[in-house]
Amino acid sequence: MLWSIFVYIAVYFGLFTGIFFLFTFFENMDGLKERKPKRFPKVSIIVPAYNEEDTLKGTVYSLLNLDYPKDKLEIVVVDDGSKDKTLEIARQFEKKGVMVFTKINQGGKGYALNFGLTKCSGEFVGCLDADSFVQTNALKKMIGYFDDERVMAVTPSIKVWKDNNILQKIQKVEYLMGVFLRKSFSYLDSIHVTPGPFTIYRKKFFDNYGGYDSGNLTEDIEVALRIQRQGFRIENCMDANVYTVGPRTLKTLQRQRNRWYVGFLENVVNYRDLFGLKHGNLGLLILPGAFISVALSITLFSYTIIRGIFNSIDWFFNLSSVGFDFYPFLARNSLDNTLIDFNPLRLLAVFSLFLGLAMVLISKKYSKEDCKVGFSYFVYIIVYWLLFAFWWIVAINIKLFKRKIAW
Amino acid sequence: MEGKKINKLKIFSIFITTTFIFSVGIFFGNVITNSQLDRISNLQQDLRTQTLSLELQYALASQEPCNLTNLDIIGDELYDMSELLANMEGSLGKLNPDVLSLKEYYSLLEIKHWLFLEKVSKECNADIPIILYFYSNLGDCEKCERQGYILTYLKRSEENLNVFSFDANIDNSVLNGLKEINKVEEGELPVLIINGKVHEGFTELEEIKENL
Repeated sequence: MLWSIFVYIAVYFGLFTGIFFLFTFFENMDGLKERKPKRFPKVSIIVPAYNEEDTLKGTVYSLLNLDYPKDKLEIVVVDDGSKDKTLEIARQFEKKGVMVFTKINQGGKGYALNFGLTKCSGEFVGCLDADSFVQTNALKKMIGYFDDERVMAVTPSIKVWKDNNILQKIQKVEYLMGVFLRKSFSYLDSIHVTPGPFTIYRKKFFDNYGGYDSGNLTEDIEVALRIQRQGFRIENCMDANVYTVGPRTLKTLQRQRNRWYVGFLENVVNYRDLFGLKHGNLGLLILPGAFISVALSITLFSYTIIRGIFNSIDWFFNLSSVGFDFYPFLARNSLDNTLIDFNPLRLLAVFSLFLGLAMVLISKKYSKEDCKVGFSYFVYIIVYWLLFAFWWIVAINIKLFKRKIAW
Repeated sequence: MEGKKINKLKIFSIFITTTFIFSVGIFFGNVITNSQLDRISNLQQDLRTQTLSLELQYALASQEPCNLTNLDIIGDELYDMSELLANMEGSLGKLNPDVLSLKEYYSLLEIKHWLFLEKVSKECNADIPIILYFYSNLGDCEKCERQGYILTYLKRSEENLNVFSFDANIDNSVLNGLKEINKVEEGELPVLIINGKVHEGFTELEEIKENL
């Protein structure tokens, strides 16, 4: 009984947040209009690279192909002490005007970015991870948002480059969902992550409030929260697309999520003053909502796993009591019943699935993405919430027991 | 653009919208579930008609009263009905009054068919294996689920077997009488009555087979 009440509360929360974000999105459709830049200011893009010999070439080419005045675009590759041919590959681009620097690896992307900042001369500065690629029109679309002087950063839509396996298919849908949510967050002035791939910043923010927090696990969350704390704005350009390579194996995905989630926890603790009335939607709805959704997911996950274990034990002992002869159970029921167990909870869960699908389809439409998501969404629905809860359990465990995280 | 400030009117509107959708979901979910209850009720009516027609066939067949062919079918359908009822218990709860009412009626149908089989067995000198199974699903009978599993296995493997399962918690005068005769209230659940012999507590597959 208590469990049923909890599940109903979780479903209500899911429905409420889904409707809230859809409502927010459609209420602010004007925000999707193209912001044509009044001028083309100089922009510097830092490419921090550590052992990226396989993807660096594609990343730099995508920057060179940007539809933006060439004399207003500065590309700075920072080789972060790579052990492979990253530096050698980067040097090949020097004749195309790309600035290449190398430094000793200090164990975090923030160090490379701060190093890059000292070499940049643009009025605006961005970063593009060396495993990401940017669409040719992205910068032009984004720069117009800076006409508002309060805007300190503009985020693009980040998508998964190729979905060759189940994990990447799940990530593809996850990122598409993120595209929708980030736009909705921007309408609420609540963006709390300015992702590594191609977020553009007003450089004077770094000049006035310091560079990246070098040792931070998620320097992109730290900068975003710092911008929010200072009362500035972060915008999102939904149809400026950046593609990144999603981890291919569970192990690398787990490592990435450990860093993201532990980093999120640490930064939110450091910026806990953002909670509360003063920061409006961010402080009262978005950040607390994130924690509530994590708590609900972990509880549902734990219950499902524990129940699954007990059911499996029962199933094992039941089968053992009939000598593991399961054949008779495959026989059809004589009543030929087509009884579908459609209790209210399942009906509401189906409705929630459609809300989620609506978000993904909206992302596809307004970020001008033509990939197919049908099968991927199906896999995502079944697997993602389990992974999400598991990653959080691991992250909380790491934080509680003060375990070290590899970069 | 809303900016940082919370739009209380918007939150309130979304609260109303969510509550409306939530209520509609619960309403339609219940409508669908109740329609399933109606379906079970109709199936029970069909079974009642079948049992009645079987008895009339028996009474009318003066030449060959023991040559009835529907005995097994009704027994199978009665047993499978218990699975449908278990599904409804999962959806609506074990203490739902509609489910309890259907289960009570189901128990009466079972008793009726069991008595008829006993009569046929005696008068026709036929070997009809019968198991009466008393269980509880209120958490006070640890081994009942496994006992039910074994009986389903037996029912599905042996065509002639008749298993009648009774929820010992149902309060019905006829069922209470049956429990009293077999001293089910005093014994440890699950209780099996295999061809008239009472077995208290969990009974292994082999033991059941030996007594059939």
